[in-house]
Amino acid sequence: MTDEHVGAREDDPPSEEELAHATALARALERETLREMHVDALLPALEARHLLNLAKASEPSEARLAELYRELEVLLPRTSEVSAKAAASTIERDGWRGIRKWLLVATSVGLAAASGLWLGSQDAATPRTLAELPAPTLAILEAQQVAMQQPNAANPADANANGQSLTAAMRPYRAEFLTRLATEYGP
Amino acid sequence: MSRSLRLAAVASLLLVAAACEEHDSSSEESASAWVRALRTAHRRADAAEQRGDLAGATAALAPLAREPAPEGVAENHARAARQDVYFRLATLAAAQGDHPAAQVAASAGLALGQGDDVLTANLLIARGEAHEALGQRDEASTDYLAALRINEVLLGAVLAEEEPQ
Repeated sequence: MTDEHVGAREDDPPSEEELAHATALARALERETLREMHVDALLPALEARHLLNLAKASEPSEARLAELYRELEVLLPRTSEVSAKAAASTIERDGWRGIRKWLLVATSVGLAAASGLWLGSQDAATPRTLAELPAPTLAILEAQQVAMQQPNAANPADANANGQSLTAAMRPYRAEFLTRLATEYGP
Repeated sequence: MSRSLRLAAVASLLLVAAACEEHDSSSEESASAWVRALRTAHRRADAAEQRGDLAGATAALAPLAREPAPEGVAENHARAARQDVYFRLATLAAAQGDHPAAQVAASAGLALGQGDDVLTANLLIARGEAHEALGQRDEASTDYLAALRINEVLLGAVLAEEEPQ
């Protein structure tokens, strides 16, 4: 390339209009890529600008300028394509990150709620058997046997007596049972 | 895991825990009130019986027999408590000569469930007596036999506990 520049000094320099056009094009490319925040995409434009500066400083020939313009034209579509692909890729990546984040949040909240409901339902569904029923006393069992062994149809008074005997035997048992319930469910 | 994710998970757990706690608290209050009502009804029935007011004793107990226990009460406790109330109602009805009512009350108590316990045996005996008074000997015999089997089981358990002493 240095040899070409040395040789190009002997040719006619590019016109001011051509150089201004090439410089404006390079600046426009630079501005566009800067707006899109893709530093990699700047490289072709910067390279083109650098080449133009070299051409201007060394007064390249028409053939050299034409070659530079061709290189520039070749670079233009590639630069736009790369930046578009990079932008699309960034948007796509950011979108998936957002969706994944909210999916994780929704899943964790759902799992927590389901766990809480499951624990609550387990607690409600499990029968409480903390306090057992009081053990029967011999007095109750004897009163039951008396009630069963003495048919009372013939004498209603006996029936009442049997019932009263069992009722009396049940009083202490009932009192103990109610005390246990009060202990179990009391405030 | 991001910070927002952790915060969301913790917040949801706290909300669920608070809801469960509130539910448990209301259940406990209902159960406590139910036990208080049960004790009060039995005290009123005892007082009415002592003064010979059998209808008053029945009126004091009847509402508790009909209404199911609150959600927070254990199943075995609810059944035993209501069966004891039904047993008292059957005994009170029999004492007033109302054997059909005694039979109905005992059957209602047995419909809550049966087991090898004092309360089931009491209800079988009360219903057997009602059957007997109504001339239904076969039904009476069936109930007495069932009550006798439970009585033997309970007696065996009581005697087994007393043996080592």
